[in-house]
Amino acid sequence: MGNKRNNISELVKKGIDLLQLDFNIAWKLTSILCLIFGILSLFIFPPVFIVLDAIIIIWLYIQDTSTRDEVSANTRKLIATTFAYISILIIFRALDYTILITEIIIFVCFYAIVAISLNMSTGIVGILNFGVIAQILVGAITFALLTVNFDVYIWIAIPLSMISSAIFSGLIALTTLRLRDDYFAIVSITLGEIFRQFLKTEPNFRGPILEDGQQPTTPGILNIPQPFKSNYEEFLTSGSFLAEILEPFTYRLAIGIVSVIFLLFILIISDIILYSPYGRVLRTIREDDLVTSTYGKFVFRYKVEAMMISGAIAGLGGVVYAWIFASLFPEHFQPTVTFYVWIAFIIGGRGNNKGIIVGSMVFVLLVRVSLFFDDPDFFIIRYTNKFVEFLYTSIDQKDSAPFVQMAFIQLIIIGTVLILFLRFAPRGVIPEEAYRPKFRGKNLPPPGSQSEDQQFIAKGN
Amino acid sequence: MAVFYERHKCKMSKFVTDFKERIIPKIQPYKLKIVAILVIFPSLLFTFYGIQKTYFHFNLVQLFFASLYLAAIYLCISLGLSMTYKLIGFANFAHAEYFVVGAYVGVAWSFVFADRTPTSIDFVIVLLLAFTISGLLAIIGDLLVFEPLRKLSATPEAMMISSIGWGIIIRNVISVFFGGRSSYYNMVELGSRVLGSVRLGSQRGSGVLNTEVTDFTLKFAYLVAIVLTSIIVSALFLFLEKTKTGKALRATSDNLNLAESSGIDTTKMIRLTWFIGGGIAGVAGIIFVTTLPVIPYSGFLFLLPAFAVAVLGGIGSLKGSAYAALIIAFAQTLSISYLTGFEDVLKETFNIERDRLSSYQIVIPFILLIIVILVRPTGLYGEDESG
Repeated sequence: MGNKRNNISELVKKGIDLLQLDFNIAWKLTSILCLIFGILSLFIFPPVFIVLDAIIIIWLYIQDTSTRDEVSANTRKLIATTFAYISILIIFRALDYTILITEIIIFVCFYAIVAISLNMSTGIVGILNFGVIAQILVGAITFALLTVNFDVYIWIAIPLSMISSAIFSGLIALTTLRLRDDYFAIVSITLGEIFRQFLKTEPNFRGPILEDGQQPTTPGILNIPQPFKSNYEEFLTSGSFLAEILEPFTYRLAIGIVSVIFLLFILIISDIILYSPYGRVLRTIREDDLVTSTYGKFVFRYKVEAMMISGAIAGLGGVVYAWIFASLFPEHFQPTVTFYVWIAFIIGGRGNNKGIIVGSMVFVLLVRVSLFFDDPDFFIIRYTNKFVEFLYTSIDQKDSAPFVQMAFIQLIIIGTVLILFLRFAPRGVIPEEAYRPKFRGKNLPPPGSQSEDQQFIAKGN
Repeated sequence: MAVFYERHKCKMSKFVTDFKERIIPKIQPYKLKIVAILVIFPSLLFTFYGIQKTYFHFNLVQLFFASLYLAAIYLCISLGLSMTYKLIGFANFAHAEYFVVGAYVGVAWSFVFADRTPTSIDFVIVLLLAFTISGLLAIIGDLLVFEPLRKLSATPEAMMISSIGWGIIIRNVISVFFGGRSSYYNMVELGSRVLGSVRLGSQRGSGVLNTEVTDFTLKFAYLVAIVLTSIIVSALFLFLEKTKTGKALRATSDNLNLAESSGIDTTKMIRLTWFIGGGIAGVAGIIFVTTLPVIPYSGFLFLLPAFAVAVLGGIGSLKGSAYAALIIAFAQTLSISYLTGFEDVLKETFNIERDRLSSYQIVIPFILLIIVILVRPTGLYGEDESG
C-alpha cells in the first residue's frame, strides 16, 4: 500500500520533471492563477473558485518537498498562499460578506503578530511560553489605561505599552527561567489567570473616575481610542471615488490596514533579528544550550532578552486586541486565547515567521468560515441535533435537549487538527528552513547535504 | 578610582564567596524550617492582632469542613495528574476534563432516571460508573493521542500541546450533548444537621479576644465526600504498597526501562495508571456535582489548583499530595476570612475603601504554586530533579 503511494508520487514528480515545471515557476503561476480566480469570481459563480484555490494550494504543498530547505522557497510559498487568501477574500466580497473580510484581516494580523512573538520565545529559543495571554494583557491594559484614563496620545501609548509588556516578560523570565521547562509553562499560564483576577477586582485597572468622583464599580475599560477614527469617517463621507468603493467596509477596514502595517513592520524586524548573528545564537540555545555556553555565550541573558523581545511584540498584539473590541473586559483574556495562538503556531511551523503567518491565516479561516455555517439547516448541525434529540427522546426528556451550536463543532475540529498536526506534521505547513549565512559574499550550500559540504571544504582548501 | 573599585570589588566578592561557601551550607538543612518560622510566626501575630481588633472572623467548624471538602476535590484530581506526570513526564492539561466527564455522568444519570427519587444505591452506581467511564476515557486518550507521540519519542512539549487539543475536544463533545448551560445532579436526600460552632472575633472594637458560640449547618454530602476520599486514598496507598501490581506500577513510574528489562509489562502498567488516575478524577467530579452545578468549562477552574497540589506534594508522591491538598485547601478557605478582614484594616489604617477583596481567594492556590515552584521545585516529598 505504502509502496504504491510512493510510486504514484514518484510518477507525479517525474511528470513534473518531464514538463520541466520548476517549483519556483509553479508557485509563481499559482499566485497569478489564484488572483485570476478571485477576479473571475466577481463575475461568475463564486463558491467554485474557493474550492479551486484550495485544491491548487494544498496540492502544491503536498507535492513540493524538493525545495523545502531554502529560504527563498518558503518566501515563494508564503507569497502564493497570500495571493490565494486574497482571492478567497475577493470571493467573499463577491458573496457580499463584506464585514467578514475586515474581521478576517484584523484577526489574521492579531494572531500573526502574537504568534511571531511566541515564535521568538518558543520557536527560536525553546522556552515553553504559555503566558501569551498575560503578555497580551499587559500590553492591552497599559494602552487602554494610558489612552483612556491619562489621555496620552495614541502613537505615544503604543511604544509605551510595548515597553511595559517587554519589562513584564523580562521580569518573569528573570525569576522563573532557571526552572524546568514544564514548570515555566505552568507558571506562565498561572500568571495570566492571576492578572485576569486582578482586572476583575482592582479598581485602578478600570475606566476613568466617574463624574461624581467615585471609582467605577464594574470591571472593564470602555471607549478605547482607535487610530484615525475621525479622519477615516470624514474621508468616507467626502464622496470621492475611493470612498464609495470602501464604504461597505466601514471603519473596521482602517484598523485592518493599520494592523497589516504593524504585521509587516514586526515581520521585517523579527526577520532581521532571526537572520543576524544574534538570531543564530538564539537558535543554538534551542538546539543545545550547553554547547552555546561553551562557546562563551551567556545563555541566561540571551533567553531573558528573547523573552523581552517577544513581550514587546505581544504588547503590540495587545494594542491591536484593544482596538478590535474597542473596550476591554476580564472575559477577553481567557487562557483559551493562548491555546489558539499556539494552534496557529503549530499549524504554521515553528521557528519560521513565514509559516506562522500561513498558520494564522488557516486558523482564522477555520474559525471564521465555520461560523458561517452556524444555521440549523447545515447538514452537520442538523444531523448532530437529530442525534442529540433522539438520545433525549429515548429517555423521555425531549424538552431539555440542548441545541447544538457550530462553535462547539468548530472547536472539536480545531482540536483534532492540532493533534493531527503534532502527530503527522510536527514541523508544520512551512517547515523551518535550514539557513546558512553568506560566506565571503557567496551562498553556501544548505547544511545537511554532506557531500556538498565536503566539496566546499575541498574547494576552499 | 579604578584601584579603589578593584579593591572594593575584591572585598565584595570575598564576602559573597564567604557567604556562599560557609554560611549557606550551614543553613541549608534548616532552610525550610527557617522559612516556615519566618512565615508562620508573623502571620500568627497578625492573626491574633486582627482577632483582638475584631477585623477577622473565623467560624471554626465551618472552616474545618469546607476546607476538608475542597481538599477532597483537589486531592482526587491531582492524584491522577501527579501519577501520569511522574510516569510519562508531561503536564497533562486535559486531566481536569476527566473530572468534568465524571460530573456529567452524574448529570446524565439524573436525566435518565428523572422520574424516580434517587436512592443511595443510585449514588453508589453513579460513583462506579463515573470511575469506569472517566478511566476508560483516559485510556482512550492515551491510545489516540499520547501513545503515537510516545512511539515517535516526541518532546514533553508536544505532548502538553496535544493534551490541550484533547481537552478542547472532550470539553466540546460534552457541550454538544449537554449544552453550555449549568447542569445539576439530583442526589439522594442526605439531609443536613445544625452543629454548634465557635466563632472567633465577635464584637467590633471591644479590644478583647472574643469567642462566640454560633451554629453551622453541615451538609452530609460534605461528610460523604470526605469519607469517600479518605477511603480512596487509603485504598490506593495499600494497592501501591502491598500488592504485586502496585509495586510493579511504582517500579514503572520510577524507571520505565529498568522495569521493562525486569519483565514488567510496562504498556499494561501505563494503561492502568491512566485508568486509575482518570477514574479518581471522575469520582472527584461526582463529589463536586453533589453540591454545586457544573458547566463544560469548569475543568479549568480546578486544573491549576490541581497542578499546585501535585507540585507542592512532589510529583508522583501520594503522601505529599495528601498533605499538599490539605495545605492548599486550608489556605484558600482561611484566606476568605483574612481578605474580608483586610478590607477593614485598609479602611481604618490607610483610609482606603475596598470591597470584594475576598474574590482573590481563587488566586491563593496560584500564588502558592508559583512560590513553591520558585522556592522548592521538588515539593514536599519529591525526589531531587537530577533523579
